Amino acid sequence: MTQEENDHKTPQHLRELFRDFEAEPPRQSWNMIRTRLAQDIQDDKAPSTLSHMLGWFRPVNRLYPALTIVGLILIALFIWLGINPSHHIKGNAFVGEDKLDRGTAYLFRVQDKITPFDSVRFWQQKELDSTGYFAFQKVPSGNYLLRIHVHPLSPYFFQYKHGYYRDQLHWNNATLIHTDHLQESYPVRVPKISLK
Amino acid sequence: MDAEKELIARCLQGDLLAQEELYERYKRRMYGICLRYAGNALEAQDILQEGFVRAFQQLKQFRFQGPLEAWLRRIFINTAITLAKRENKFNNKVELTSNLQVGNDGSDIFSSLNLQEILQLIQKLPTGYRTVFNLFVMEGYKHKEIGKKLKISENTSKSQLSAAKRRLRAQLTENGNDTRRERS
Repeated sequence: MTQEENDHKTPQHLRELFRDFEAEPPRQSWNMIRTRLAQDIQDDKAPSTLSHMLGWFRPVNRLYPALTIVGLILIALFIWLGINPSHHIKGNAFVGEDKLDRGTAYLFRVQDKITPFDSVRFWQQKELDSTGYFAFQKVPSGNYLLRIHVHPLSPYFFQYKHGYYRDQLHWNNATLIHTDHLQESYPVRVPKISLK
Repeated sequence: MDAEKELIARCLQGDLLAQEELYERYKRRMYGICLRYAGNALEAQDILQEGFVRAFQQLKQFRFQGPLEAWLRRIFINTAITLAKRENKFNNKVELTSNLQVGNDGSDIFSSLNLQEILQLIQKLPTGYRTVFNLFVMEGYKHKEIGKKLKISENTSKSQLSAAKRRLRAQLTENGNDTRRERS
């Protein structure tokens, strides 16, 4: 028999003696317990303002980490949009007095503020509709060159090939579009090719 | 059993009368446990109050896999341990002695005493000794289990039990001398 088993055996009758041991608690005990329970209910119902606010940040379920990430992404997006507001550049392309029926509008971003430009980067292109209309959405702030190409299948192709805003054949004569001072519309008249 | 289930269900709905009924049903048994783990009646009342509050708060976790009384006993024992831990009373280590018998000759020193006298002796023990003594002797836990429960080593549990028994024996001898002195 081990020492521990022996120890358990020795006070066997003590355990039996106390097995059904009962005693009457003081009368006020229940009142105190009841008061505590009532307080707990009140605390549950009416949390303090501070604990209520802390509750907003408490992990309520397993979605909490995912929601936090989504929230942070949204916050970052709002900040980014605030720093980089987007703009819309739209207009119509003309050949003489007519609207260009087929063609493409190109937008180039220009880093330089003075000509000659040496940091021109292609940004986006849009097909013209049958009325010569084009629109670039969500354009970041900056300076842009707008170029119109006449489609090879257009009846105007052999007279008009391309042109820049405003009505220029060469980019170094083109007018820059500044997103800080955008116009309602940017009409581009494609210059006629001179055969001289 | 069904009546008890119904009573528990009413308690869970926040029915104060049902809670009082449950309290009335178990208060005497639970207070008996509290008195064993406490140093005096006031401490016992604290454990009783805290134990019942916890029991009502945790009642929804009762799975009906055993008697409610056994579940309540565990709550009260754990409450007593938690309250004692708050006062950091389990760190007083005692040197381990090889003699873990209750008396020098291995006989049971309590055989001549009644329940109230034994209870008074137990209550006079320091909290650490008393808790280990209760868990080992009264509840039948093993030293390893006590160590886990109180976050002490197995050897510390053994030494606390040994020290508790020596202290009890010393108290008994002292009481015997006092009685003889009174008689003479």
